[in-house]
Amino acid sequence: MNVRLPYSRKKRYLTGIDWVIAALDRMSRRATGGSNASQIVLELNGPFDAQRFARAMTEFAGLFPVLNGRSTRDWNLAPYWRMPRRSAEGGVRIAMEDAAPEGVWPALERNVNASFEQSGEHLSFRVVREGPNRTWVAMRFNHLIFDAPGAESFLDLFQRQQSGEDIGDRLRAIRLTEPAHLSEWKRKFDGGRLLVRMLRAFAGTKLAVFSRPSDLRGRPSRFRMAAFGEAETAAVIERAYGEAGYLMFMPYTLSAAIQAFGGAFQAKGGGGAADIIASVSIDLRTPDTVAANLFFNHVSFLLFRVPLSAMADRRRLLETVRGQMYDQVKSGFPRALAESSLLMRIVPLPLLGRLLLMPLKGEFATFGFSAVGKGGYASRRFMEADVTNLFHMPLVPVPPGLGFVVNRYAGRMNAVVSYVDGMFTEEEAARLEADVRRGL
Amino acid sequence: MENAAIRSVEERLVKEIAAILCKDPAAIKLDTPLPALGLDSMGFVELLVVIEKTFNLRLMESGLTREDFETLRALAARIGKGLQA
Repeated sequence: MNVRLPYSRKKRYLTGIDWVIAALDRMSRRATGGSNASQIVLELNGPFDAQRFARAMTEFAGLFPVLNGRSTRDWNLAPYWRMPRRSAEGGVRIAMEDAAPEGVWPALERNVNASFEQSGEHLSFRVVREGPNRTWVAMRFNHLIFDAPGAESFLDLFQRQQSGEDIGDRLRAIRLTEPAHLSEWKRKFDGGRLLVRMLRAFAGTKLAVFSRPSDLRGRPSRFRMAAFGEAETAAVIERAYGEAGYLMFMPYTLSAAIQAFGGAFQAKGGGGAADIIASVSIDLRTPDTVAANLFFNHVSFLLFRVPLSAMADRRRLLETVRGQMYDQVKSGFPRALAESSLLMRIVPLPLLGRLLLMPLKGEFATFGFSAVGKGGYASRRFMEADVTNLFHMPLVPVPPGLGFVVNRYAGRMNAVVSYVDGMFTEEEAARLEADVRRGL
Repeated sequence: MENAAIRSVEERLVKEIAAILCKDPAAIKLDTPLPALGLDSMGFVELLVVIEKTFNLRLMESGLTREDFETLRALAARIGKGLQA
């Protein structure tokens, strides 16, 4: 098919993946009231002038009216991001508080679960002080505007500016337009055929899915984090390379997550012939191209299916995960998914949300998984303070309302479990965290 | 395998990895460790798929030892061995 519809070269048309992310945002809002949001947390050591940060960040964010945009449809029906000419009055919202006696974690959980206050707000900050030399900066963002590496890259650009670097070239390199992709239809339909084949293979799966509370409305997400020091992280990487193979860090950590969640599922009385299905987001950019493509979503997905019966044998599990990853990459599935999702943009968001859940009869996966790669936040400093750790706290759309994200920063590693409140008791969540740590 | 044949494998690998990483082939050095080039699990699997398509060698089941895969030079030697077998 050679039909080529005209479009504006000055607009940022949404990709199919952006549209799917928007559908997940809508699903989240309807299910729990929360957005499809996440936050990056910087743990800082040393003096930190929160007021100076607020002024500097407000000025910096003001350079990007894209942060206050919203999606709408063009005359050719392709959705695009309508950007205001100027940033919102009042700038980015930055709240500050002192840590409560119960610690910082509840404040961080509250922050990521809070609603964005007005339409067109997709980014906000909270600074939590825990004494004169210990501060936590949480950047909360809606996935409509950033994926995880893009959000890190935004903070990285801010820090470069603060450290005196001339960021002019970097600002000019940021891509704020995207073609409408209203041509090369055959490639999109071919991608669609591959996607349908993959989904057909999943049809009839008895999915291992954790039960969620019936009253989801207003339920926050909760988080558990297993943080690894430098020596522990080096040991994990060595184990990954030894057991799963050189550079097989992602399959290794995914296998650990599958074992931990599978164990939790069985401990809660689930079992039989069910399969764990993990939806794994992967970055379509290379580390060198993240900075120029920091806004919007540049991810695709891999799907892994592992029978509960295959979990106990770690070696077999690793082979299964590696094999499925290889087969999907070889078949071109991630690119095909990104390509074919462009066709879905014609579907209104409410309908798309329902379509996404059709293959697995109202479910999406057992859990979502993400290994945030390099190419994001590079500095060891933030403003005048040392960064001792950086980690991610994503709200996972419901369903499944359960996710696992692993990231590495400055030689350290963090594994974070995100779940909708009520899916696990405190005791079960603590056991899950311990299982994650043991499995890595 | 002859040196010329190994050099040809190395050149092909440089070209393929430059395409995977969106880099100038001139920036790819044969003795740089693959992670330092910017390769992660996903990029590495993409490289293994290219190797299967180009050299008809499926290395995913080979154990993926650091010794064989640490640099492009080591990988070219591993492919050379595979092609001789």
